[in-house]
Amino acid sequence: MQGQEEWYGKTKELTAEAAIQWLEAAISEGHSAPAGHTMPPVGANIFGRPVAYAATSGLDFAGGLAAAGLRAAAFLPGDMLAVQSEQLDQWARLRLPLIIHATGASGLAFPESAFQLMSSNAQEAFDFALIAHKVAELALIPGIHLIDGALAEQGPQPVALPSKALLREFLGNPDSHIASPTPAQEMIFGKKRRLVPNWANLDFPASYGLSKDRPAHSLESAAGQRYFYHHLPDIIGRVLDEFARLTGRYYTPVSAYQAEQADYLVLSLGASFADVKAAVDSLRETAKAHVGCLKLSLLNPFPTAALAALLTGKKGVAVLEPANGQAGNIQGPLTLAVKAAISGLDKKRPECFSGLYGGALSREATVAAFHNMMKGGQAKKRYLLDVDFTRSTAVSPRHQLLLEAIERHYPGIGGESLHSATAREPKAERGPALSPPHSIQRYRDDGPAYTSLARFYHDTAAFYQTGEREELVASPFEALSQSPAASALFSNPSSRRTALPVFLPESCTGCGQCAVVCPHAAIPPLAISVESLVKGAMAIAASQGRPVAQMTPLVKNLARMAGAAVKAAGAGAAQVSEFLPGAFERLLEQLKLGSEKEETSRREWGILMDIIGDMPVAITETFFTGPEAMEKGSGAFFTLSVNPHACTGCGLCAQSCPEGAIKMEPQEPALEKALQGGYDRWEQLPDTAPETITRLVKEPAYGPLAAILLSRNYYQSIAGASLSEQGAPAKGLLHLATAIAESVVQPRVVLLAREAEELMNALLENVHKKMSEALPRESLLALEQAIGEADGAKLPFGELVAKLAAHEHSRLVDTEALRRKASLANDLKALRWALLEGPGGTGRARYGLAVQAGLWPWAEQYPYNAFLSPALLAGNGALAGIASGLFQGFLRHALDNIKLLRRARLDAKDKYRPEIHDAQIAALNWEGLDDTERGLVPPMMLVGNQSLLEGQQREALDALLASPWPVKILCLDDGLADPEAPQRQGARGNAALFAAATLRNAYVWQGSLATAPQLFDGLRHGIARPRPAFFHLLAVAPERHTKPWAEWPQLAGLALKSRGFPVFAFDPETENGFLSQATSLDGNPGTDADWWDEPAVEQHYTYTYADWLYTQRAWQAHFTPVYADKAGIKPMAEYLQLGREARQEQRPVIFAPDADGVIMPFAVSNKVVAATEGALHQWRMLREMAGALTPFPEKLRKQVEQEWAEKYQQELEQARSEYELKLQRREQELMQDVRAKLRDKLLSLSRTPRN
Amino acid sequence: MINITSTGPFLTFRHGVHPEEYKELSCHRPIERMPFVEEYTLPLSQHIGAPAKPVVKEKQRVRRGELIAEPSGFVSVGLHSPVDGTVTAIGLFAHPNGQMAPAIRIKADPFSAQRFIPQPPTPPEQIPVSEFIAAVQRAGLVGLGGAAFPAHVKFSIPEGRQIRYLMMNGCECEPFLTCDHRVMVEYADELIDGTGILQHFIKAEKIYIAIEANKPDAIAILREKAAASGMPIEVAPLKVKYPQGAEKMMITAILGEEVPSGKLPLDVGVLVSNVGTVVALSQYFRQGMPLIERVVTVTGPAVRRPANVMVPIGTPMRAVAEFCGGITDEAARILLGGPMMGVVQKSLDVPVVKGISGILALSDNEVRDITAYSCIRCGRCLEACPLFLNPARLGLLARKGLWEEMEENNLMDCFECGSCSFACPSGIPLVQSFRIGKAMIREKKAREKS
Repeated sequence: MQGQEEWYGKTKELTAEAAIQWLEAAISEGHSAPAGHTMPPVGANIFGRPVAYAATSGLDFAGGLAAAGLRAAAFLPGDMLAVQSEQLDQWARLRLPLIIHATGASGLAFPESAFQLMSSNAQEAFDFALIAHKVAELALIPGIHLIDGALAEQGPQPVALPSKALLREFLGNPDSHIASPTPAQEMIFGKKRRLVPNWANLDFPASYGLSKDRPAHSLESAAGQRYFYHHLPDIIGRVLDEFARLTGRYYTPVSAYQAEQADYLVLSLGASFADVKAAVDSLRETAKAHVGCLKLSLLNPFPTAALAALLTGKKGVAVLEPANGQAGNIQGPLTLAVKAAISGLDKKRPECFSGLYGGALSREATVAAFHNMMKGGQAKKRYLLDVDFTRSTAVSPRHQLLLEAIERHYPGIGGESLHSATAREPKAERGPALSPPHSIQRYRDDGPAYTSLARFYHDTAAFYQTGEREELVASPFEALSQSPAASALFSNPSSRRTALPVFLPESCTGCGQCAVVCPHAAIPPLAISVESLVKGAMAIAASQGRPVAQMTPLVKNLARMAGAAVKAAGAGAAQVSEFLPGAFERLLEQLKLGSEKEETSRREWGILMDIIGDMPVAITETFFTGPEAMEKGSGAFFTLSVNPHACTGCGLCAQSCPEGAIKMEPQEPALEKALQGGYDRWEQLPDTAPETITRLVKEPAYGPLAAILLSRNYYQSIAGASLSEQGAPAKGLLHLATAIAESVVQPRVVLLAREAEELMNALLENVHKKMSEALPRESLLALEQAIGEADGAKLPFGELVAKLAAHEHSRLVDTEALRRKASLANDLKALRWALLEGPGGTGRARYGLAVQAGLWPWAEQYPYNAFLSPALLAGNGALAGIASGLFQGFLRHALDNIKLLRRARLDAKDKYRPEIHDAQIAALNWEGLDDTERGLVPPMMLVGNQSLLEGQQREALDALLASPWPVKILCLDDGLADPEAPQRQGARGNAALFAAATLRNAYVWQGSLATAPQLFDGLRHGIARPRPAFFHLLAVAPERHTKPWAEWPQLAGLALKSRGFPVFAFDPETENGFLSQATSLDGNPGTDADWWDEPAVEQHYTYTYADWLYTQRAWQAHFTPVYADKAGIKPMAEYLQLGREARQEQRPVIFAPDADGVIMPFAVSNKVVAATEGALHQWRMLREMAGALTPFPEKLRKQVEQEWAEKYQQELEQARSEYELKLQRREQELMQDVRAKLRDKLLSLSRTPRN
Repeated sequence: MINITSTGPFLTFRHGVHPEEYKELSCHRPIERMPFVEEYTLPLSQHIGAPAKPVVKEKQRVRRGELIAEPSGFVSVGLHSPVDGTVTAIGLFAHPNGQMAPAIRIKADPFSAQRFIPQPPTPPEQIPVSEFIAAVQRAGLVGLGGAAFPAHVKFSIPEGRQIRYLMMNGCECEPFLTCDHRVMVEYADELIDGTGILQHFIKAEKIYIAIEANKPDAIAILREKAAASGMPIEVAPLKVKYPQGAEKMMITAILGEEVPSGKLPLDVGVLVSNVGTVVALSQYFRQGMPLIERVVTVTGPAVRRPANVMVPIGTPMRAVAEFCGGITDEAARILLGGPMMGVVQKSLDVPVVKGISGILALSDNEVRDITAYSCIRCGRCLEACPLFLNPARLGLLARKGLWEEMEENNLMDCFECGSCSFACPSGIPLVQSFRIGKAMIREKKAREKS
């Protein structure tokens, strides 16, 4: 650990956590911490022992160490404490002196099997860690050291670190022997025992943790209580005394400040003590109040006696403790313990008040707690601090409505929280709320309130947007962890970005690459024909109260003139006002409308130009000149809009544009406003024509990915910006995947809706027919009579029917069937509505999502929800199970719809037989569906990172991949390699691919955006197929590379070229089932070779895996520039071909740019060589699978070919002879037929008399 | 001059009646905000005078407080959108007066927080009277007591006239209604501020805030604020009696001076304004908020949850009633305004307009169709009439259709307070017949003119 040696005996500025890490590296023989939480220790501890380390968020590793007689500790996030409490109890049963540092603890947990200390500053944290070890080792009871979450937020503080000698004296060598500290231990161990008992001992084999029956267990509990825990308070006292003797720092289980002269006390714990003290000081000074405070450091065993002594004779004590999820109770565990402690006092018992707070306890809140206590009879006994249920002033009328509703349903709820004494000043100036984007208007809110996007906006998101979060109250909605779909539309990234993209249409070719790379769907492209554009502008004009009526008949002609006008405008023209007015003028000349009409037209044209005139448009071959050459008026302008609500200013679009048609400009209010205007306009203009998209998807030169993104229905498959990650590559990939999923599923949904409508109509017609058939047709007389009775007057249908029924000829109507049909028709109507519109206004979601939590802030940061589909966030371990469960749920709902369709299809043709079909249809399940129907079941997308491929999760995933369901697993791998385990990265990916491939069930695709066409095909095929699919995609983690993050698309390219992340596709549905034919490596450069030799302008360069490693931060130490002495350097690819001996004389190098961009050789370490060889091995395995390495055996091939050829020949001949036979027969038949007809004709002619 | 103690005797006028108050149903309920509904209907005529003229088009987006119709003459006021939303239609829609009337329909934007961004006009202290009057007209201010008479017309003091007394009318003598009461309690600051604005132009010698003695909380809070304002304000508690809130009765009660028949308060140097109107005046000049919402008391035995509701103008009454828990099945009659002068409303599918101070749902117990017996000449109506008319005689004349004779008997002074009908033990619909009489006379005069 950094500074390990030179820090002994010095005072350093450290965070509590860093100080404890330093301590554990010095004194423990091993510890564990969650992955990425701490740096593994290096070197030996002060007793000369190596320090073992494991990255785990459990207690298992540390427990194992402790059982083997090693001094051990575990770092644990505070919220994991509850999860691990069972394991902790087990270790306590084993009497292991293990220490747990619970970091960022927010609430209080009271596992009783361990003693618990809570520190309030960094020095205390360090000292308590030390004390805890000693106590645990003497008492043989595990200890929990709680480090307040608020402490971490306070940053580094000075910590006096002890000398080595002091540490040795205080703690002692774990191997040393001490006098048994308690009589019970003396009986168990003898007079002396090892400081850290070596329970699991090779010399004295025994088995530990045996299960006992109930009587035996209660014996153990009672004995443990009496002989171990009973001594704990005494041991703690002794240790604290000794610590004070050695360091001069005196700690007590409860410490007091100004408590002696005080009447009223506040009891608190953790990092807020400094603020509590300040509150006491200010109250004593300003209000001359007799107040003081207590701090609790030892939570278990609870210092009852000490506390009782301190509280004797006081008037009141307020126990302030962090809320722990059960805020409704307003009485935490600490309060209960304090009440128990003072219950023994007689008359001098203080009144006990209970306050709960979330987050940190503030100084103002403490003052409020004191004021409340001193109020006497009116004081609140229980309350919440720093959380309000209601407010006296609302920020908006909608907010006021919420506040009033809370107050109406929960009268007096405001009194349950304690307001700080200093009332908040109502803000005079509030930031104006960004108006939500226009597209929000398509959301309707017919569902329950919690799903309403509008409600969510003004109750919650708007407060985040305008920075008024302190105005939020604890409303019932805040009790939910969800936010409605697409709420990320409300995010406002403007404060975090510095630049915005500006579209320069002059050089744009309309390739759409910018739209593909943008992770936030912030730069939608649009190809719009002149006709649609003008019509769109007319619609916008109408919405602004400036209706344009005269233009309608002119639009088509105008579009036809546009081609010429564009040509006339020349190359420099770049916006609508430079193209269309020319066409309009010429049109007016031609039409000769007369002065009055012409004037109106001109005025209206002015309005339109006001709306679209400044719209930047590109004249491109793809969209304008090409189609225009085929048909006049069919050309379309290409334009880009930037959504300022979503753009993070990352610059990927500008970076990716091959023509430089996007420029990043500093964010100015004017620019932001202009972009907002442009985006609003885009939202109101019509979408790119579907025909254009269909045409371009098939055009390889354009690229299918860019083509489908031209449709806003697909492009907007993800919402909003990321406030924490600018060029989020994982989000970018997920955007593409969801866009493709939309493009696959939406057409199916449309077809389904159409069928539902057709069936509904058919059923209704059927019902009408049935009813009209029931009229007495045979006896027209009856009908006439019945109608006749009506006497010519208008009669309600019901009465007429009643009259008809009176006649004997009327028929029976099968009301059961009619009712069934009518109800089916109704259900179909509801289905159609749900699919296309639904309560949310955007139709039923097309797929489900299960997303790994803790990876991507953009995916889980409240209140901004980027997804448009239901998404469940969960930790890695549970993801596969959740996805599977969710899918079963979706399936059950989808089956209901499919059953409805099946019934309706039958019933519309009157083929429904309840006795047969009821049971058949009720039993319908996934297996009984045909492929079209399966395509109607919303696929489940499971999204995670490479950790999906590890451990138990892998097994669960394999089970999903072997299932028959359309579960699409998206593994977004960062492609990084760990220098400590260089083999791991490539291996885990490939292992997953191989495993998936051997199942022969799932479609598998691996690759990245570097090969966009393959990515599109892979994703589209995998998602469209109603079976499982596994996508292993490279989502570069730019922050872990040395390159600027805007270059991540280039990094993806390098990963491909260097075999760091090859493209791989496996389609289980190949005809003959050969592995090599199911597998494809298309997209990789040079699949026939080990490495890719890239032809460049000046010289070739062979890329190897080492080039990929060179870009990674973690590998920087493994590359050394070779400035001089270039003798014996060998490019990596060549080096690897050398034998072991030949390698000895050579130094492997790669050629790469240094910090200044100069290409030069870099010598690589052995680990790089090993990793590169590993990658090569993996690549060769892939090639082997694809049949590229070992070709199909020649002999076998010939044999098979011959067999097939013969078989084919035979079949061909057989077919030919059959065909000829058939032909002859037909010919004969035909001839006979013709003859017969001819004869008949002649005969009839001959008989016909002439007139 | 006047001796006011908190326990009385309180100032009053002679005659009048004292109906049951029924204010306890809602007088302690703080003003609640009416939730926003999907669509608002804003009749162009919500005031006495010429209807406003639309300045928006269909499909146009409007902001909360944006002008949507402008005054079309001097006796006419502006109309503003109560919400951020879109104009969906301009056409004929049901008006609370029972007719189809031109109105603007606005669909509320569900995503707007309906936050009103303060944009105050030039402070009133810096503008001449003419501009002040124009601003009040633009703000769409009308008397919120019920008559909806354009406020700027009232505030226009003819050249050469001096107002000696400014009176803020917070009597609210109608039973059941509590909206003015709540406004005085909850908007005391705005009330004093609005009074100050008026005083700046009127420069009255003395300002009275007249409150019936059954609103002690309002009296207390306003006394405190009035004392701090530095203006010559006196909070005058008045005896609880009907029709204490009628301008002329109030003047008589406070000044002990009668407004002569056929004259206006102006003629005796008094300007009377409803408290709600003055609060709205303050809100317009300090925040730029025109009259887009008002407090409506929704009450009566047939209302599940009586309340005082801040209702955006144009909200369907049905929605308001539903917000208050709905109208129970016992409802026998729905009145707009109080039980004494309120008009019967047949349908709830009409919008709340500026002049509606209460929605009152009475049950069968309160609504009895009393058979009218013969006049027994008991004289109670004479004792009740605050104007010292002879309702019994007028009633007889009305039965005979002697309109001209009625006019000679000062019928036109009657302001239809209904005290006579209330007092009559024979259940004779006196005031109802006077209304007919007044209408007949007006019609006749109109005919003569043309």
